[in-house]
Order: sequence, then structure tokens, then C-alpha cells
Amino acid sequence: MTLTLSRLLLATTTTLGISVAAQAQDTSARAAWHAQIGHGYQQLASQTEQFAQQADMYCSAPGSDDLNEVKAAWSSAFAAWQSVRFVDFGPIEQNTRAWKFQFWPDPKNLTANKARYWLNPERGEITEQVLARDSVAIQGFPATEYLLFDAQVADSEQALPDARSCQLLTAIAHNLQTNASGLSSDWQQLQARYLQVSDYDNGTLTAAMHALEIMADWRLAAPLGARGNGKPNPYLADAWRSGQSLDMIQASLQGLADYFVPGLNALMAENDALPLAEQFSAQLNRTLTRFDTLPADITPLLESEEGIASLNALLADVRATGQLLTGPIAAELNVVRGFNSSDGD
Amino acid sequence: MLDRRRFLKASFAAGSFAALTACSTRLLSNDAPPLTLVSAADDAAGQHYIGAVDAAGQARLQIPVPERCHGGCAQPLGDHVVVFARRPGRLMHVLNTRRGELERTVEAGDGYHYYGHGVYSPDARFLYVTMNNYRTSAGLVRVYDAFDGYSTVADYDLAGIGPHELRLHPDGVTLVVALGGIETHPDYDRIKLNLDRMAPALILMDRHTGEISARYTPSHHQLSCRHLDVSPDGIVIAGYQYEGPEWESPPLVARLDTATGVFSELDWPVEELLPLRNYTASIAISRQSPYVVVTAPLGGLALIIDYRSGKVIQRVSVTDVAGALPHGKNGFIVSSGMGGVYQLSADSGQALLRGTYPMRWDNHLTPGQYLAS
Repeated sequence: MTLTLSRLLLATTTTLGISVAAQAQDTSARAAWHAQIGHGYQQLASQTEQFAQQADMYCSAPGSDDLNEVKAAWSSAFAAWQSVRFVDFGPIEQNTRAWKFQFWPDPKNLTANKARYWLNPERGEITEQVLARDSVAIQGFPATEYLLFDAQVADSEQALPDARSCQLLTAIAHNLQTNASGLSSDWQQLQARYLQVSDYDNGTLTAAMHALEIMADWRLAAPLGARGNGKPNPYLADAWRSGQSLDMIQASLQGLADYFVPGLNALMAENDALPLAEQFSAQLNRTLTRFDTLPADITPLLESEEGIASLNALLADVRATGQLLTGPIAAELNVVRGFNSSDGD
Repeated sequence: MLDRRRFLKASFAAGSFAALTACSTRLLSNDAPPLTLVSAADDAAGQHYIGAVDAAGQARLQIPVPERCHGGCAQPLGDHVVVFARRPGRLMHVLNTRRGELERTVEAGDGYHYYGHGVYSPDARFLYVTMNNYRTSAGLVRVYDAFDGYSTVADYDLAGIGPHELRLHPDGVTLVVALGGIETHPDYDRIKLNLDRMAPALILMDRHTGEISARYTPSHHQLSCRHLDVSPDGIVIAGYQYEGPEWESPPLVARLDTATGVFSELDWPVEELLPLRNYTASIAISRQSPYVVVTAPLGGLALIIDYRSGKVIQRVSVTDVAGALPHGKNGFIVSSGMGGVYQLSADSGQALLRGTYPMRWDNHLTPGQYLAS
């Protein structure tokens, strides 16, 4: 109990450097994962707080350059979410939290519909509390992305800093901040159980596998047209409104490198299979270097054969990264991914 | 609404159903009873099917379906087995098990979706299906007439959100409905829309009138009451899925004695509950012994419980176990998403593999009557 408490204090009061200290006490894979993911959640909480503050400042006294600062704060906060998006267990599962950060995919454009609904002055007062009870489509990053970046909004009378748009922007931003800080503190509550229950090794590994599959199939292959009718469609990517779909995939991969790889290394070392972990890190880094020559968004690449070829190369590398986990690493660790246990009803 | 003549006819049919059950009981008590089961399934590529296994253990039927399916029910005395799309799917598939083919597909209709479960009346005529009017979130039981091409007869309101499995009480009249309490809308696919304000329940409803005669409430509002079975002596066992934090260990199995109206939750120690990971899939009660099996795929466990005492008799490890049916004197058949079909017995802590198939068997097993070739 004393150990747990001291570790909890460490994890809640400090940042990345201290997670190394936590590992010094407990070198297990789960100790590393808990500390690193906890750090990622803290980053999300502080970035959403800054986003909410920027939105407040801008809306209380809008100046010509300030909107760009709000947009930059949005991008940082959304990237912080991308880096922990792979975690699909624990407090992120509570009360539909993941969807409240990012409702996606959104083939029916419910995000825009919901935002337009609330922008109508007849809908009454917009508060964080009222939005928290409404659809997940109005609560997250995509709804604020719509207000900040959507071309139609920018050309309309409701373009920021319109009063109603500002009300909606700040209410969503504060709701994001509330959800992020709740997530971060609940993650600390999970610590004792996470460290105790060995099944979380499997849960954390399968979370990373699942995230890489979603990245390959839905975040890349779908807009490439490799699924469905074969025609490229940039609107199937996430973050297309802000033109940052590739930047955000990069943030997700970097999140795996920062928050998943240290625990994986520890686990593979415990199992005398460190070379496999090194192989995974090497492949992940190879995938990350692809972004050095890629633009922020997928859209321009879909317009040329060279662009599509570069996306297909990225897709192949993302798949190769995932396959190292689902293949040799899963076999080494006897990880079983159930059908009913991953998606029952 | 049923008139008196139809009601009498239904009651008569209920009597003959009891006779048939007794007859098939004798058949099932042989050493190696035949396996005939239907289940939703996926293949390795993620394509959705309705699959079946015949009495010889051979895979039969592989009917492709556009949406992943969930549970099903067999028509008493009849040839039909109906398999339902899972939440928030909008198709139900009527199989003719004698001919081994898909006979018709029924659509939920504009504004409605299925939850994946249904049950027939004892006379095989009426099919009762849990549904959602997703414009109003009203949970309901729709009554279909199987003798009239599955036309809609009535919609019974459940005064609640998110009904899931329902079964027929041995009185032949009372529907026992598990109300999960979870709101779903096809626009949001499978996102659970109301986890902070769920109101789950176990409901008793008159199948002739739709009148609710009793409503029982789980001890926590996030204990989603999903699946259930009813014993021949009227004991209901219901399985929960807890939507609250995974570090809490609330009760997961409820028991209702319909003779006395006493509703309780099985009070297991936390060591018993923890491995189940707050999730139960299928509930199947033996027809000949006081045992029930509860499957827990997240925990990879099937628990055999004495439903009179609430005591756990066996804890059987089966990876990704989900579907379950009563089998033989004191046994069960369970299926795994890894492709295996296993036989369990109240006398053993080990699962006996009866067959392995290149299928991911989905949540529930349904008996298929005429699949034996």
C-alpha cells in the first residue's frame, strides 16, 4: 500500500523523467506501461486545458492573430489525444469517454449536423453541462475542428469570433478538459489493479495491435480507396477539416513509441526475447521516418500517382509494424485475441 | 390482441409442446446425444455467416449475411430457426432447417432495429422479438405471425430502453425480458449512448396482452441485464454486463423465483467474480438437473452453477467461450470464438472437445431441430 501510494504521488506530480524513477522501483512491463500511459494522459489533460484557455482568451477579446493560436492549441491537444488513442481499456472505456474525445468515423457527418443544430440561437443556452448530456458527436475534438477549420463556417456569418460559435467552442473545449482530467486521475486509480492483474499484459498488447489495424485499415486504406469502391476519398481520413490527417497518424505512432514500446521492451526482456522487441522498435521507427517526406494531410497525395505510391508505402510499413505484434510477438507471449472477448454484446 | 379462441388454441399447443419436450428428453439422455446447433459466425476474413453443425458433428449451412448476427431461436414443432442481426442491425433471417436453407429475411422497418434475440410461442405461431424504436429510444417486443409470412401483429412497449434477450416462462404465457438499459442508434453504430443514465430491469410480460406484470431492478444502474434462461420450474437466471469501472466487482448473475417473486443477485466472493471481468455472455439452464451454465468470454470461463443454491459447481476454462445450450442429463454444449464446440458436465472441471471448425462462433447457440442428415 505504501509503495502504491508513493508511486501514485510520483506519477501524479511529475512528468516523463519520473516514470524512469517509478521503473526503478518496479521494473515490470506493467509498471512501465502504467507510468508511460499515465504521462500521456497528463499531457492530454494539460494540452486540453491550454486549448480551453486559448479559446476563452480569444473569445473574450478576439484579435486578428489569436485565432491561429487557438488553432495551434487545438492541434497540440488533438495530437496529445492521438498519442494515447491506442489505449482501449481502463477508464477510457468508462462512460463512452473515447467517443467523447473523438467521434470518428463519421460517414453521416453528424459532427457538422450537431454543430449546426447548436449554432442555431433558438436552441437555448450552451453550457459545458448541457453539451455533456448531448450526443458524443458534439463533445469532442472533431466538433471544435469544425468550428475552427471548416471552410463553410469560415465563410459564413457564424465564423469565429461570432458570439454563438464562441459559446459553443469554449463549452466543448472545457468539456474536453474535464474529460481529460477525469481520465488522467481515474488512470491513477487503476494503478494497483493494473499492476496486480497479469491479464493486463494481454490487454495492453492487443490494444496496440488493434490501434495499428485501425490505422492501416481505416485511417489509411479507406481514404486511399483500398476498401469500398476503390476511389480515393480524403473525407474518410480523420482530421481532414484541419488538413492534418497524416500529422495525426504520426502522433499516434509516436505515442506507441513513447508510451507502449518501453513496456514492451520490459516484457520481452522478461521473456528472453528482446531481439523481437528491437525488431518492433526498428520497424516502428522506419515507419515514423516516412513522415519526413510527407505533407501534413493526405488530400494532396491522393491527387497524383506518386502521392498514392507514397501512401501505399506508408500503409505497408504500418501493416508490417502491426504484423510484428500480431505474429511473432503474440506467438512468443501466447497472446490470444478472442472473437467474443474482443467484441461481444 | 388475441381473442379467446386463439388463446385456447395457444394453451392447447402449450400442452403438446410439453409432451414433445418430455419425448426429446428421452432421446437426449442417451450416452452420446446428437448435436444440432445453429449459430452466427464470422470466418477468418471477417465475413459474416449463419453456420450450423449437424448431428454427425459436420459443419452445415454457411449462409452469408450482410450484418454480423447474434442470437436466435427455434420454432417449437416447426422447421424454422430465426437468427437475428446484432444491435443495431435491422435484419432477421428465417432458416428452414428441414431444407437447410434461408427461407426469408425480414426487415425491422424504418425507425427500428433488433437487439439479437427472440422467442416463439409454444404453438410455433407467434415470434416475440426485442426491438428499439430508435427515434424515441423506446424498447419494445414486436409480435410476428410466423403462419402469415412473419407479418407484424403487435408492438408491446417495455417502458424502458435497450431490451435484449427474452424467453418464455414454462406457463406458456409469460415473457421474461432482460432489459439491458443501453441506448443505441444506427447513426452511432454500436456506441452505448446513455451509460451514465441506464435503467436496466428484468421484466415479466403477458405475451397475449403485452401487459407488464412485474419489473425487477439490478442493484446498480450500470448492471446491464442482458441474457437469461428459465428453468422448467420457473427459476430465471439472468446474466449481467457491468458498464462501470473495471476495478469494481459487482454481482453478475441474478436469480428470480417466479413462484414467489423473490429477486436476488448471487452473492459471490470477489475472487469468484474477478476472473469473469464483469462480463457474461450466454445463460443456459439444464432441462433435467438444477444446473445453469454462465459463459464469460473475457475471462475464458464457463461456470456451472446450482441455480437453487447459487453455488458454483464447476469452473471450466475455455478460451473465448460464449454460446451455450443445455445438453443431456446434467451437461451443456458451449462454443468458442476460436472455433471449438465443447461438451461440459456438472461432474467435470474439464471441457470435452466435440469438434473444431474454421469459424468464429458468435455469442449464442440455438438448437436446430432438423439439421440431422
